[in-house]
Amino acid sequence: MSRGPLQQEPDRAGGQQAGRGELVRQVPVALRAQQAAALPAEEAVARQGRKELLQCGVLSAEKDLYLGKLALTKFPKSPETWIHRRWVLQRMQRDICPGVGERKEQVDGEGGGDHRDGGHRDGDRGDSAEDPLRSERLRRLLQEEMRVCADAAGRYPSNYNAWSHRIWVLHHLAKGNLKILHDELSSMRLWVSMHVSDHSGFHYRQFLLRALVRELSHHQNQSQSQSSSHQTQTQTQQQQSPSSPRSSSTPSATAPSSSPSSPPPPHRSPAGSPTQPNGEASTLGSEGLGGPLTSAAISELFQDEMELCTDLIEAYPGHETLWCHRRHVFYLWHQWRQECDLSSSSSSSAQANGSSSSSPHLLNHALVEPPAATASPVPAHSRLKCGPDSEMAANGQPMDMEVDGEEEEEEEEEEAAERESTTAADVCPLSDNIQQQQQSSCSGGSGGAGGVSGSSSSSINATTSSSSSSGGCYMRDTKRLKRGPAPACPPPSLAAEEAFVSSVLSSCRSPEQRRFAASYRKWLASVIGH
Amino acid sequence: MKLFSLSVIHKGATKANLLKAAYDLSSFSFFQRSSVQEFMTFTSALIVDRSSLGSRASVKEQDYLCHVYVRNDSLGAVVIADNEYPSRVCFSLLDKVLDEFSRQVDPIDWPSGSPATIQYAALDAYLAKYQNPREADAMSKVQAELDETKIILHNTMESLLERGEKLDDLVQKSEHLGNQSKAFYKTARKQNSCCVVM
Repeated sequence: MSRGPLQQEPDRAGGQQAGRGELVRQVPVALRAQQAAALPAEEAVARQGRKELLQCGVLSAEKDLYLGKLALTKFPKSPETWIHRRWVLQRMQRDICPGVGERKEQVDGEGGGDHRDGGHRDGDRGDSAEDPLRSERLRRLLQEEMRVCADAAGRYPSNYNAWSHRIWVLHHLAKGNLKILHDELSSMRLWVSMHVSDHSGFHYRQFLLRALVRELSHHQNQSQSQSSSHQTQTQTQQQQSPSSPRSSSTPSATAPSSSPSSPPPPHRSPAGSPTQPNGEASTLGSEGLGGPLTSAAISELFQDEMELCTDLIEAYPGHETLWCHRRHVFYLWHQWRQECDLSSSSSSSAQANGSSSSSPHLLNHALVEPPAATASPVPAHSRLKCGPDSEMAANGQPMDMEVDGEEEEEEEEEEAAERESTTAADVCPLSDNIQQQQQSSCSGGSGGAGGVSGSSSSSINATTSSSSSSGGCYMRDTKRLKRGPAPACPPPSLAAEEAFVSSVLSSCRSPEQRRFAASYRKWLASVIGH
Repeated sequence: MKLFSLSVIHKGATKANLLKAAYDLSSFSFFQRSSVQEFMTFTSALIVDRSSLGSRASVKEQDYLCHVYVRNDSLGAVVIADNEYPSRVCFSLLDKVLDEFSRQVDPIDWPSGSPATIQYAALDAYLAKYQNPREADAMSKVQAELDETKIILHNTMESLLERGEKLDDLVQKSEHLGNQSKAFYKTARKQNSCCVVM
């Protein structure tokens, strides 16, 4: 078996110490070896060789990425290729933003912790002159990665590796960047409509939704906490925000916020409030309207997603993926609504602690709850849930987002967890009174998800949406604006879901569609409660 | 969701005659394309041959669904799609194509025609347009017109064949398949992967 020249060195480490000249001569041979390597064994060898060449600076990272891209056209699923790609991207990121990278490495050792803080502290001493250049490079890198992922996703159905790579890239290269999250959400609409049984594609949309809700809620909390400046926590946050042009973990986020001083015109701003995506102090302080506007934005996000889901379910009957997606989205909405209710009901104390603790729960629960949610009698659905979750746990990378959230708000977790359990305990008896559901409804939605009566939440929905519908319009991009301020469809609610299921069951002809609709109805009953 | 091929075939007394076809093989790797095309032609002709007049059917083969409509005047059309593409839209497309074809091409030419001699150029455009089913078709209209219970569903190609007939034999005898494709089919069968191309 022919092995690359790097293998001829008796000691692999010795290869690195060999003169650069020798390595330079070996580059073309190594690359050819890589290209020729069809067997996995040789591929691993060649990949190690490439890593070494990269570390010596002999091989450029861009070239290596290009080679990887070619490999992916033939083997779109290959996990090693994706893993290697992430290694290269991390190196490139360190090169582009050295301060951030180092900080990140340190906290990565602790398990992927607080990126935002890390970025900010180094960004303070960063060179503002180089920022646009850096962010441009990162932006191009990001775009290329999106392209590669999309390509690989098209070549293999439900290509989990490609999609989780995509999530990883967003998480590391564009963390906290609302504009990019919004752009991804809108650009994926068509793709997902043309691949209606691609679970991973829809899972990506769910990730985007979660991330957007989290980011928007975070800004909302920042604005709320800034309005009450006598809190210690507020002060720390305020310290963060003046330097927020550089405060996000990656300077790529500064690309869209290139005009820090003036608030962007409403139609440009994808964020809930008319502030920079990074939530700068200047605009936040002047507006102070973070609360209702972000709520409206989030609500609209959910509305749009449900509308898309409805549209696809009706157009393409008999695809389980669409129904699973609907469950995810509705569940997310349901949780978010509950947290809103929680924070608004506890707003009498109006502590930053209380309100800011609502944001991580969506993430914590999104991670923890789904296995409980699948207690409902749909084996296929639970297969879907358990599969990706367990894979994610094993892989370690897509969980970064969730792990990150947990660690950031650690101190509030216990407090909030206590509140959650008491709420659940309070609400469960209530729901039992309203409906004769057995304990399974409470346990099915354990941890605060179950039990809130659908009718009360939908009425709250109605008031918030009506009060914020006028403000809601300019969160969207211009296309939407032209349609006018009123949302096209009513906000999600349990009643609306029931109505939808009934209409599907009455009009559908496909037996699979009927089956999925019936299971969805059962899921609604057992998990969401009445 | 994708459409791979669209063909118009005349169901003769003794054999099925390919009149015109369009293919979209962009999702296949370059070197596979000629074989894939041949197999699609072979399959389409076989399906028309084994379908009765005035019938609609969907034949499932691996990840592909072949939808066929053979009219009472022996003119048939087959569209090969993936399993995401809504079958309703496929049948609407077949209706449309056959309608137009029968008006533009004289029935005299059907039994003996070939893609080279037949003057009908719209198939490629239809195939391209219908790649996005919603842009191409008003679904609600089709829903009303078509009674789905009349469409026969075959779970494999084998169920189309007559008793004792083997697909391998048909492949060997086929005039649509080149030698390379036949050899490829043989090796694929041996490896038990059953014709990964088609």
